[in-house]
Amino acid sequence: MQQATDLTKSKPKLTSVPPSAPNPIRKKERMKQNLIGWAFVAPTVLFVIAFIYYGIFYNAYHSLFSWDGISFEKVYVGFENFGRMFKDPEFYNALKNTGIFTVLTVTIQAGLGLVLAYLLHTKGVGRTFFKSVFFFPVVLSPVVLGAAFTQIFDFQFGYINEFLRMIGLGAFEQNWLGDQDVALYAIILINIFQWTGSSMIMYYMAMLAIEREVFEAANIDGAGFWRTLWSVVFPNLKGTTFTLTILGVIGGLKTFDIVWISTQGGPGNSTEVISTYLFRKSMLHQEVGYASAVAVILLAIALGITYFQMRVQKKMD
Amino acid sequence: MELQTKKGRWFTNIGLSLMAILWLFPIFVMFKESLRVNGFENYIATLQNPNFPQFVLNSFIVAFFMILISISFLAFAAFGFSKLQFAGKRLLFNLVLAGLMLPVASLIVPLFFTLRTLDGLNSYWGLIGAEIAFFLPFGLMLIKSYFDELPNELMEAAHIDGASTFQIFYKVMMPLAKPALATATIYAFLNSWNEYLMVLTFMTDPAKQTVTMAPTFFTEALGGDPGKLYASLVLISLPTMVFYIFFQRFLQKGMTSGAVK
Repeated sequence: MQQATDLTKSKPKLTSVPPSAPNPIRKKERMKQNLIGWAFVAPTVLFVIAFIYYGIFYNAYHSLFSWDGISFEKVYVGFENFGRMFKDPEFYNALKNTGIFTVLTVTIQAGLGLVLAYLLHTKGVGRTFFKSVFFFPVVLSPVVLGAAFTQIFDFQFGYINEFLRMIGLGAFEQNWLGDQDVALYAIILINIFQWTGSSMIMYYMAMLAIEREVFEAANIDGAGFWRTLWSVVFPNLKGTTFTLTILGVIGGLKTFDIVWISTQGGPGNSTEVISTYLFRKSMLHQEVGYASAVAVILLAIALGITYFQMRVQKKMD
Repeated sequence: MELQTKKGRWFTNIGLSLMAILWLFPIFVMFKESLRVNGFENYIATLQNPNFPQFVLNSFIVAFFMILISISFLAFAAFGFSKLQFAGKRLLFNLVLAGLMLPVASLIVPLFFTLRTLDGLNSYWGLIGAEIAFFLPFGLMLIKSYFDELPNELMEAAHIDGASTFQIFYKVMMPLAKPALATATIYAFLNSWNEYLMVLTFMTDPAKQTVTMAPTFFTEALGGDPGKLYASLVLISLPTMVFYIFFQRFLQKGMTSGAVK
């Protein structure tokens, strides 16, 4: 602000404002405006086109070929890769795991984040400290979290199993990351640990915007903690809940690091998600054409969600 | 909000404390494990392994150029998309923004093979370029939403004074946009420092890898000595922890303003 007023003061010169100019000049003026605008956004736009849109095109093209990524020869196979993919139980397994992962992380992170945000919204000691603690894992690398949780989940010496044995519930001990039926849920837990803080912050910020009177009215009506949260606060935060759901779904599709570090998709393929499946097929199994087909589907899902999100957002505004 | 009952206050404080203990536990585990058997010796041994300082140096090099390039691109683009009028503005903006939703894994094939053709594997610039491309959409949204809140009258006033668009950008808007640029810088640093999949795919040479490869390297190279592994984890988390302590307000704000609106 200061800067702007200074500038006005230092240069009290007024250039003549053009009156309604004839058409060719206006056209020229508009072209000049376009060129200036394009120049400002060009580096970013071109960079994104070169890396991301070129990549999408590359995927679409190579999905029609059989290629190992090493030899020069690429064999045109039409839509065969897609046909194979839609019959591949491993592909469906990866989709299913991604689905379970997404549904559980989205709902639990939002629910827990909402409760934490609401608790922090009350007046009391150490609220800033608690907020910092819950939000902290967001900045940690999944590499770090994966390793720490490997130690916590360890079958023999892990903290959870030792704790269970200590309190006499040894019967409930699990091979958390090594059991086909449990490993996916263990990884989901790590994800929840990392991202609940961000749901909490978003809800917290949104709660600050709710009028005090809304809470007070609920209080006067004698609504208890859960009752106020569920029927007064939550309905006021629809926008945030929607945003968190979209971010969570996209996050589910993006999930790679935490799975690769904790289990590499195993045991068996019980924790294989769509991203690890794609990485395995392209980088480890050298089925590049097939992996491109998987990437095309993944991109279509991601862009479909984006489109849906933009449509809904427009309606909400 | 004021809690009415004493019981309610107790319930809240105990609940929050228990959750906080749970949340600090994995970090406590990491520190504890890093001191296993040899105590602080583990840290010294990790730092003395010639590969570890190399990982850290690589991470700083990649992060530095990634931040420098993406933030300068973004300053121009965010201003352009927010304050200028030009043909195709909406289309171009949505084009960039759509990149926000794309998983890195979905573009790993084109990136890997294109970089291979261009000799960009195991090179800093290949990784830097890919990291920038995936950061630009998020960064754009973050900085543009900040520009959107600066009044247009500032532009108009300066324009009447005869300032060129570039002068307005550089002398009026840039100083005002500092908080947004700072927030984007912090996010860019965290993204680059914590990047895993791209490093795993593009950088097979340990001499070129960044800190996220350190744990794998230490598990394989040191025959799985857990003390040193966890010491390396603590060390690679230090810069992000320092960032968190000083800039968490920026991070929290960025979380909401940057969220898809």
